Amino acid sequence: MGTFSSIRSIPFSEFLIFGRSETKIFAIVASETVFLGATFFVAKPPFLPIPFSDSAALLITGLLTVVLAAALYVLLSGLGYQTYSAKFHSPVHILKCWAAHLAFSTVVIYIGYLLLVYPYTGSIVLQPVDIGIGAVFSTGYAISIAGIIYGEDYFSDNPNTKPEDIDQFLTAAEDLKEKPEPEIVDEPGQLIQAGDSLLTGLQTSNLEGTGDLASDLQDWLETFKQRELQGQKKMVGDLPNSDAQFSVWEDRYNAFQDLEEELREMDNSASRRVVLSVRGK
Amino acid sequence: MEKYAEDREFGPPDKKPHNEGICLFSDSKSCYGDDLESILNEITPKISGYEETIVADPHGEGLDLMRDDPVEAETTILKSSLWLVHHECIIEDGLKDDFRRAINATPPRTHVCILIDAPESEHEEIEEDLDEVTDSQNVFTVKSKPVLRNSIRQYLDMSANPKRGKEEVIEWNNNVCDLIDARS
Amino acid sequence: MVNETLALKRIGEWADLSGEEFHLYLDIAADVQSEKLDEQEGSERLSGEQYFDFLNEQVLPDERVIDELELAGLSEEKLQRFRDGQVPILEMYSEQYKLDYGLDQVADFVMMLKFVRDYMKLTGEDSVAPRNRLQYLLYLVNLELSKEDTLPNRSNRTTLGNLEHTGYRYNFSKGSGPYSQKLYRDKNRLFAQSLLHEEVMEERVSEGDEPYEISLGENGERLIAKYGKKLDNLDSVLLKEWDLQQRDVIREYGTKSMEELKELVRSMPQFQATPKNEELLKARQRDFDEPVDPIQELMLNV
Repeated sequence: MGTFSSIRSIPFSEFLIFGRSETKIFAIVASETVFLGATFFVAKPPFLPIPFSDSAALLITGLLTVVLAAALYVLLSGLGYQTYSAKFHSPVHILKCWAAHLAFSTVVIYIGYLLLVYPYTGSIVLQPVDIGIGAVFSTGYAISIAGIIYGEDYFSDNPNTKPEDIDQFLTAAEDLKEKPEPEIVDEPGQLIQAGDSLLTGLQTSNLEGTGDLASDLQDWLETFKQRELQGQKKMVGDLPNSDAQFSVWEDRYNAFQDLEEELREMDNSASRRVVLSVRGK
Repeated sequence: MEKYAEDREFGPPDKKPHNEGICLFSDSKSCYGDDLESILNEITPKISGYEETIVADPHGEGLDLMRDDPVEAETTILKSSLWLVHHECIIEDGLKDDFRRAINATPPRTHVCILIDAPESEHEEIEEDLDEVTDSQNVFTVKSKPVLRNSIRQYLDMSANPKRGKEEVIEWNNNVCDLIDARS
Repeated sequence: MVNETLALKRIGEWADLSGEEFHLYLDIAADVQSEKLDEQEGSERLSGEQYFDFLNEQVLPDERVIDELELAGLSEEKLQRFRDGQVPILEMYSEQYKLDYGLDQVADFVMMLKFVRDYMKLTGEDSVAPRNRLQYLLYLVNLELSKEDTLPNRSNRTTLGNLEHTGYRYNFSKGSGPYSQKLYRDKNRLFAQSLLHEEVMEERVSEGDEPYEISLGENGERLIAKYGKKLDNLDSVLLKEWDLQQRDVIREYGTKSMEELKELVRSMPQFQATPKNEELLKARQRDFDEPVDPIQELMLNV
């Protein structure tokens, strides 16, 4: 585990593994790489079965790379959406992850190139067509790694309930705030249930910053559980317009607003936020 | 507010403390020039089992509710078993009858503490003005901050704290639930 | 009922402490009290007198309290009572612990007890409910007394009829219905003595009604069991008239629903002619000036 721990200690690894188990990711990358390496060794160059002119090949590989790179971004934003870190829902942060994945896969592919093509060409300087083909391979390789991580999560026995939990938490809070007391049935219970589930997700997440959010949520939930309905309503923002409003309730509501902000950030994937911002929403 | 089971436990390991509402009736949240929150912060560390068997929360909208609709206000203010009422709210706001009625509606354990915040020379006159309101046995007056602090502490530690005997707390809570239910 | 938690404050006042010394004493005594209670096993709440004994045995003689009182310059006599645990706390609560009232006040108490007993007996109900029904019905007792002038050899100075000489000493004012604060005060006093019992109603009531039901308390039951027959055959003419009127009111109005009762009282000319919050009906004016034996006997035995 020493090797994995050292990987974990590098914040950069977060860009690649999204807080997943290092062992699992290492196994996925290793098997992928072995598979790819084996393919390189058994295959015979040239790789393009149809003879294209250089410019056509560059055009095709360029277009393919753009499409694959975009798909990689969507896939990575999906992976980010499964995490309990607000940072991994940010388009910029996902872009960094995207770059990290591409950089990693480019290095692997270049090593493969050196092993397979260099003996034929005798040159370590890449030809334009090699760059184009390499780019397609790199993005494809990155997609295959991200896809396996994503699929592994998707078919796991512990489905990620984060989106439902966030929705239940925020909806219950909104209802609790808006409804008069006699109409409130089980909103505090639903809020607590969703909050506890989110808390478990945050506490078991390995990502940087989730610990702080978990601690804030835990403190707020503990207080919420101990309050009567009258106080619980105040904690989610039903602060009566009173001259003698107590700051203790305002503080608790402010803490809720901070939590709400972070949870709302986690409620949209990076790619969806990009689309929304393009649409001007 | 929900009824407590007869055999409810409040302290560890369940850690379900009794939530004690303190309702302040005042134009400002100050009591003798001090913030009630800071007074509570001084008191609560001295209360045995605080956060385990009892937690206290101040609510400040009592006066606004009384001004708005005194009958409707009762369903909210009844949930607090300690009322802190600035004397001016009763005398100067003309809410004497409303307060008298609201106090009459409280279960016996609800304590109503009237804060007389005026120069000593005026105390007698104020107490005379408060006469009919202070007639109930669960109403008492305080005239200084240290006495107020001690009264709140005594109340939270001795009367409202399930650690000192939970039956009375359960009975009060369930009585209030019945009262609110009977009104709805 | 009894404000035991104010005992430390009352003790300080009894000791003539004031200002900073009073405040210091309160803090120290509360600290000692908390500490001693924490040392005790179990979490049984101390009843009123048990709490006073606890204070006298464990809190007040504590050296920290005594030191503070010495610094405050307390007289040696009082200081000795602290040291010996002989502070007369119970006396400070005498109003709640003793029925120490005059004859006329006790007459109100006894007749109110009798009213509750007769109401339950004549209507078959378990209690008087909602609580403001008591206000309406006792108002009607006094109102009916005021309408008649049948007492022998009486020279009236007012137009209150029999009410000038007998009936409750409660002034009723006009709220949403007839209302007497004194009536509530007496009801509370009887409640404090367990002569009356009051609990929250299980049934719903309409807005403005008070969802409590009043019945005889433990001591009230005992008292009625012992003196019930005597109270049914009162010798005093004044009390007899009062009692007869009371029973008539129960028979006539006791079984009406609260809504009917409200409607009936509110439609009465006297009620309609009185502005809100003004006096609706005066209280009995004269004190009893003849022997009322059952009352005197009860007073001696309570």
